[in-house]
Amino acid sequence: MKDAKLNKNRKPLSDAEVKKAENFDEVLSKLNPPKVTFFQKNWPYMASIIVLAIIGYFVFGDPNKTDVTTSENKEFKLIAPITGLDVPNAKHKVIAGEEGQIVTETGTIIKYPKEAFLDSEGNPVTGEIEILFREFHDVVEIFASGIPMEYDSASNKYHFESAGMFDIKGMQNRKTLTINPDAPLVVELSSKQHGDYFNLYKLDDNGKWHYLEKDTAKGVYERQPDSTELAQLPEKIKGLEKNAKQVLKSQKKADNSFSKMLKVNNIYQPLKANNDLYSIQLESDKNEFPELVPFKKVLFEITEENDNFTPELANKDWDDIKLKRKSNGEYLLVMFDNLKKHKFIVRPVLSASDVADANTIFENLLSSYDDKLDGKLSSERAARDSLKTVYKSISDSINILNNFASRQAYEASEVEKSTAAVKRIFTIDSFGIFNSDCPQKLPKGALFEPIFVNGKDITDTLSFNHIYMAELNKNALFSLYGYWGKPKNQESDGDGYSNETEYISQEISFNPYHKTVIWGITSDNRLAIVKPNKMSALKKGGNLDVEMYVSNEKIGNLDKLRELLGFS
Amino acid sequence: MKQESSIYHQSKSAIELEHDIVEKAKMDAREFAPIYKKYHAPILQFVYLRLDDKEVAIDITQQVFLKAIENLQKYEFRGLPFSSWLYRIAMNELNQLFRKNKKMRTINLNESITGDLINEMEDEDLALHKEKLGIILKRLSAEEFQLIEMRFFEKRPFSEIGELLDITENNAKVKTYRIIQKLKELFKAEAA
Repeated sequence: MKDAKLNKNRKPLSDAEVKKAENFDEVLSKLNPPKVTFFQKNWPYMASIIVLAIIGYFVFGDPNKTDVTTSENKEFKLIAPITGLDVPNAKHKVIAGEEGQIVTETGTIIKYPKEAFLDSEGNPVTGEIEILFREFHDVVEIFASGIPMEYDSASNKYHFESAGMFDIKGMQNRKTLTINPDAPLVVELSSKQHGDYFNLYKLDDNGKWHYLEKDTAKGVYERQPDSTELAQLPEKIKGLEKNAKQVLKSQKKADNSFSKMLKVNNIYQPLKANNDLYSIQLESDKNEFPELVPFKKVLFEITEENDNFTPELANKDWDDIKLKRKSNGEYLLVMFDNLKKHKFIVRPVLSASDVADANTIFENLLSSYDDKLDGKLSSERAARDSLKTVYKSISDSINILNNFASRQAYEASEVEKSTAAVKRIFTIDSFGIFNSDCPQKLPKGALFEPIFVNGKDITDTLSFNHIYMAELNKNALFSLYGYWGKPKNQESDGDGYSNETEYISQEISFNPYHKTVIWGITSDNRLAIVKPNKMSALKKGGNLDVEMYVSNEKIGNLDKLRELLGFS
Repeated sequence: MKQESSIYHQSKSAIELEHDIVEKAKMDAREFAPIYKKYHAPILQFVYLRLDDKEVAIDITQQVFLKAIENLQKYEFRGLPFSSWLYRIAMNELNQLFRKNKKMRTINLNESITGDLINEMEDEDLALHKEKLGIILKRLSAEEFQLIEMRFFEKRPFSEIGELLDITENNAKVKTYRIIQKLKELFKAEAA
């Protein structure tokens, strides 16, 4: 905030100023005219464009490719980031016109009713057709497919945590089919995620996700806590421990203050004797210890700190015993044996049978002194007791959270071990890419500004305009766009970069409590990775040279990619 | 600290009524007028508190409502007042502006806020140096100041702060407490 301007006592806008600024018509006038209006006014023109587009598609398009273009001619293409690696389609042959179902290798079920499939003119299709279906269940499959995982909600950028995604198409004689809206397909997608906090989305032709409905999953387990919630646990516990420490400090302060007040007013607060410690009954001097006078059968307990006390000393015949008060207010018992002195710190206590009566006497004394002291004694005691309650409550919360964290860690490992047991139910009336997702914000906690270099040759600075990030415990792929590396125009003269390189970087945030992996694809199509064990060094933040492992191997299959990224 | 009544706290029926309006506005933007009327003033004051230019504040506020209407299809009702969504859009717009021009960011301090913040630090000695609060606030990061601004300048409940900043209510409390401790340390160092 060092560049911020500082104003003192500036008034907010007046009602009149606010009213003057109110102009809803202006907002409406700036809205883009709805596309439907344009279509209605220009339908003959639009119809020709659509006809031409359809012809063009069948003449030039390859229906096996998952290419999507936007209506605004900003071509959106689904491009697999690693050349030659993608999630392949499984081809299922079914008979259109009959009801049936497809069960995939993962256990996903695609149910289709009669007349579910239509041709491009909207007529029901009969005979053998081909359903092309591919599923994406983990970060590696999602990454390999190139499917965007960002969700824009009014300029608020989110990233999807996926409970499973699929891409479905129907073909007959190399012609694309559509789904009959009156006979939709039901896809029961197998999911390894057990949460009930997902929504269903569809990817549109512009590469943007659209919310469909709340996910209704079959066989959903008890709601797992949001992983963000789990990530915040250590911070929560740390915060509570800090609070507890402060409350304990205040409680001790209040305790001392109350004890001091009792002492000043010669009031002894009864304590029950500890059965594990020795105590001795003595007649104390009424003048020297007036606070003990109101109480009967006071015992003097030898405190835990007396290392020099042994049980044999308790049975010894002493020549003399004296009770003294130390300068700090503690009671000191001095025992004499053949002119030899033994000193023990003691505290006045009462046996279990006498303590109740003693407490009544104490309360009466307190009450009478309290009246004289305008209630100061009871308010001091209430303050102390209230702090005690707060401390107990915080301690309990810490215990609960610690237990919770342990239990969740255990449950998370058990859930990982379990097989897919949940089905995400999609009712679809169009082909395309569908996802069961939960929008997530970028992980937070640590921030660094990297210059990525090749770990095998740190003089080799790597440049990226797209960095991928994932947490090993979460099924979310985070895409970071920007630019990291050498300036693009560095080679050319006259741009100020010819003598000294000023690398370009942007901040990256991540959650240091989670195992995180960061990677990118170099310009020569190699996979460059910052593995989780290297991420902890980035916690310190700031401008850092970050060494990446650059793989020279050809990544021929998804398992190899899983292994390299640490997901296997 | 005395908490001002907030538009965040609304009855269930008021929130549901808003939701109905939003659903209608998805079909016809003109239906959005009652929402605009209800929230124009608080959003404008929210924006203006962070700026020192009335015209820019008015433009940004219009932009907030424009974006809201344009993106209504993406709005998901979560049982919260629609204002939460508008504030988030406003924060985004402001952040974009501040990224381009950091000097546009303004700290608008007054006696009452100063008093509340000093009280929160629970150190009477600091009151003697209260005139230094502005300089000290400038030493906070934008993220830290945002929390202080929402809590002490705008008197927002922690639940709403959590919702706006996408953190839990408890996290908002802990973070605010830590920033207060940091302010206290900065104050002590300044006073020494």
